[in-house]
Amino acid sequence: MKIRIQHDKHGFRMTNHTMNKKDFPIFKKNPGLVYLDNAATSLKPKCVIDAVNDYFSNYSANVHRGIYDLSAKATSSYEGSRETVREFINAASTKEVIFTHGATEAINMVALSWGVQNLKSGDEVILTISEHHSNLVPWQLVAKKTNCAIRFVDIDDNGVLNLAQLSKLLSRRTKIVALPHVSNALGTINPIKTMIQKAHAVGIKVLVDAAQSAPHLPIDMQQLDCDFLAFSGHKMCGPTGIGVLYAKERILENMQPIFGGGDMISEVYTTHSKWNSLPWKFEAGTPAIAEAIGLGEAIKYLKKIGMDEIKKHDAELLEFAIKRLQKIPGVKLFGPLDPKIQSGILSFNIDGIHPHDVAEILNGENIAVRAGHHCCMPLMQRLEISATVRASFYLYNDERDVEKLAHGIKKAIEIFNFSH
Amino acid sequence: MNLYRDLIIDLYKNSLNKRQIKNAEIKASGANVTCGDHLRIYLKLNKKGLAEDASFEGDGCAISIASASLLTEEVKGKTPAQVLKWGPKKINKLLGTELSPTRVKCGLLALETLQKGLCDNGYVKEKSTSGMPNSHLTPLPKWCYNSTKIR
Ligand SMILES: Cc1ncc(COP(=O)(O)O)c(C=O)c1O
Repeated sequence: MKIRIQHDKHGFRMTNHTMNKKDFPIFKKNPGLVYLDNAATSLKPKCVIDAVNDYFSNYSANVHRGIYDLSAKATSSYEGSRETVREFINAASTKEVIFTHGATEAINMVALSWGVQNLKSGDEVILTISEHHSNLVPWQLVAKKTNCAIRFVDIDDNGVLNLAQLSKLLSRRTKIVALPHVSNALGTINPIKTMIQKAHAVGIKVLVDAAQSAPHLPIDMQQLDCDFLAFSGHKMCGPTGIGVLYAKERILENMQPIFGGGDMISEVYTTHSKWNSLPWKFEAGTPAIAEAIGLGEAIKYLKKIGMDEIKKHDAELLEFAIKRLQKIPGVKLFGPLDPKIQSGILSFNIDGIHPHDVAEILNGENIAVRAGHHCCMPLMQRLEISATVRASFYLYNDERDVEKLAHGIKKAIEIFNFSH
Repeated sequence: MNLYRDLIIDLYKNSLNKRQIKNAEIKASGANVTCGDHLRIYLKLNKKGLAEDASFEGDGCAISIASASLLTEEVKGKTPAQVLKWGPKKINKLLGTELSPTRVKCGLLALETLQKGLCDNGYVKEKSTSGMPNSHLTPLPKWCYNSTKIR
């Protein structure tokens, strides 16, 4: 879809995404809502809500089991979504696409299955200091079980990864590098392609936490060639309770399931069982059928707009926001502040005002932002701050939202009456 | 927004009792990690067992700092037993506003930290008359107290 640039009566740029606000029912009841907490979760378009509703209303049968028509339809919709996901990330096969509850579960599966099987005392896992807790704590759990060590790649003060340090840390002891594609706290887009190449050159596996990139950037498994990739549906216009673990088929074949139950077996005896083929070997029990169908619909919605368009829109809005907020005295922005290496996430603080108070005052203006450590406590410790305010954008945000944010910030400064 | 009335902003910017008490009997640290609030509370008792002086250090949002400021004034002359009875109602009264569920944690940080300090020093909380444990004294998660780092 081509972007049509128009200006509203206040002179703010409107794109076709701006106008796509009408696709999101939440704005009907709450037209003034300025939703800037997209890094936490995105809003849901009507087509996704309808798809979920359609399953519950018209064919809410279980999958892979029934001989009857409704179950066949549920199965084909559920498996159809898997194919939609496969195409979205350009995986080689649907065998490599495992539905999970979200990115967190996907990473835990890798850690508890692949990690426990392959790591031992003396081995090292390399993470970054900007890790979301969900790509840190699972590795700490594995370290407890296996006695492996965890090393961290540092960032500079602008949140940019220290690639030279990564090269130094990679050694014969390293077994896996796990890192975020995009930092959820600072928005930094990490050069994962380079990092994957560096690791692969010495035979080390790479897990990419794509929770913040899958919604915003085109992702291509054939081009990236990482071994594992994890993301959540709810941050990309899909329902909660559904996410994806991608892993290379070769690796999955050798990984043991961590959950046992229905669907993941082919034969069961009192003494032993045989596992089902991929990807079902890793999907024990009744899956999140409605949610998977909703995720498939969300991906179709995103593809209709185009991931390149979304990326461009995020970058333009970020650039506008950086310029706008930089003009306000007393506001300190975090991150690279360069749309080429920063996704639509902007963390900031106001001198003398606690982030919590900023968020509360913005809430009074119907502006939703996040204040806190954003599940990145080691990153906050590294930056020597306790919290930030974070505004994060998506395809329905526009320059007017940023303008309202700027006004809200000025109001907070007025209320606290600090003269900067 | 009436939450940020002049009193609260004023106490945030010019807090009372924001200092150490070196020879305090009760010293306790508390944190709301999710918000990034850290407090340390000091309480000095006189011979009769009444609170003679109280103070705090730390940083946090306007609500938690204003509450700490108000609390350290309010405790003076009270007994530990009295302080242990206080809960959200007391804090709302001191602040002159009804805290929303999302901010109650901020308002209670100073009080709960002080109460934890009292309990650690052998002062026992009376059972509440309703037979239910007082909800404001359900212990904060352990990690809240581990954080003694105060910036
Ligand atoms: C970078 C990153 N990784 C992982 C997650 C975890 O996602 P979920 O909570 O949906 O499992 C998040 C969500 O906040 C995230 O931002």
